[in-house]
Amino acid sequence: MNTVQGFCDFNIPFRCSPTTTLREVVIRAVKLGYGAIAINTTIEEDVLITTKKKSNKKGDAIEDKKEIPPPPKLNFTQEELDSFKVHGKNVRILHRLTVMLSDPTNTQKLVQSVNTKSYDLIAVCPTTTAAFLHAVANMDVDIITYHPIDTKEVRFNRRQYHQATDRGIFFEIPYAFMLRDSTMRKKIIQISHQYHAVGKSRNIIIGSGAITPMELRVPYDVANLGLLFGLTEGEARSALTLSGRSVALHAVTRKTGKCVSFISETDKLGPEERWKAQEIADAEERLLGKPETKKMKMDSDTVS
Amino acid sequence: MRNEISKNDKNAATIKTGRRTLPDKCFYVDTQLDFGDYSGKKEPLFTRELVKLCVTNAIKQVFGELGSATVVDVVFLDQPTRRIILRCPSSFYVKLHSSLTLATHYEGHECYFRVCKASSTLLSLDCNSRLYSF
Repeated sequence: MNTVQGFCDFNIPFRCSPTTTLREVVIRAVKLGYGAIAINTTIEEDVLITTKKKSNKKGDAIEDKKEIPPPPKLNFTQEELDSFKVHGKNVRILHRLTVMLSDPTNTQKLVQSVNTKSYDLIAVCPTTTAAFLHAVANMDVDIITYHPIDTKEVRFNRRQYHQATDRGIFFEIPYAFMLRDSTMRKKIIQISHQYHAVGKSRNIIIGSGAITPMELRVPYDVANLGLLFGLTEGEARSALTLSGRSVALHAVTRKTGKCVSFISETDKLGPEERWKAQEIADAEERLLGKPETKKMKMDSDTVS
Repeated sequence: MRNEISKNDKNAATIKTGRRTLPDKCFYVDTQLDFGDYSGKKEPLFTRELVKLCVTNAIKQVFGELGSATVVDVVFLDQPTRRIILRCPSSFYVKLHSSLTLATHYEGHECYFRVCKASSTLLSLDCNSRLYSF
């Protein structure tokens, strides 16, 4: 099974700063000790809005119907792959899609699009309270993020928070914004304290959102930042490791379905599991064998 | 008078158990200043005063004037590897660590402080329980 291990950083934006490339950011993340990272493609809301007006042929050339882009591909040279093996043996690079949402009615295109299914994780960044409530109760997502600039004001109460946590949705706090500006720092601390006051900081994951390699921090430092966010030391550590693992597993269940099935040959079952083979044989008899036995009995009766 | 009474209590505790643990007065933080992978630009000066100034500025940026009203000392400084050992009161450790994490500039250059180890005793900064072979 593909499992996510170690420290997770599920928010490395695809559109990084023009001074660096995405590859450098990813390489730096692996060197710092992260075991799983996710490359985040953000879509603005206008991609989801379907225009119903009929456009002329001239208009078609100008107005491009915006589609959800497929996940980006990263190419690494052989040297870099070798250095990955030194620093991180099982580094998993996932793909994540983040949708900026302010109006709950725009989510239809997200569900219908083919490219959405090729992303491993889906996140939503609600910018209004209505979008937040919709995301918490109805939307099929893994992560609910926060953007300090675009989010106007989001209010929620304990019941709504627990609705999300019961469904397995995690709340993400991005820390790279804190490094840039003091007002953004204030807003992120504000939202993290709100999560703590309302939800006792359950189901929290800390991501970076780093656009340059210098904005990434060692997992040890990020766990200490968790203390600023109102988490205890153990909670802060698990916000990096266990939460990431839970999010990845939730994404897998979202894609495949709500049950797990194993297929194994009945000859190769262990001694503790042989009863399963017997049960299967009995069930087969019950389903297929009974009508035949009845007929045979009838025959034997008539014969005798 | 109050102090005398408390001293008597402490003596009573030592007489009963025979052991007394001292509270940790200060915390030692082992950090490394990392300028990233770029090279070519002139690297800035690295002295105790400059480092102390930078660290107190970082604390002031995050926690304000009142928050930075504690004494943070630079105990050790190594120029080639850019290794710094800072000392702070043990109650101040979380604030110091978080403001080091959120610091982005040193003398105008982009950098970050990477905290390698932190402990209340200097000696334990040397060993690493993960790599120690018994």
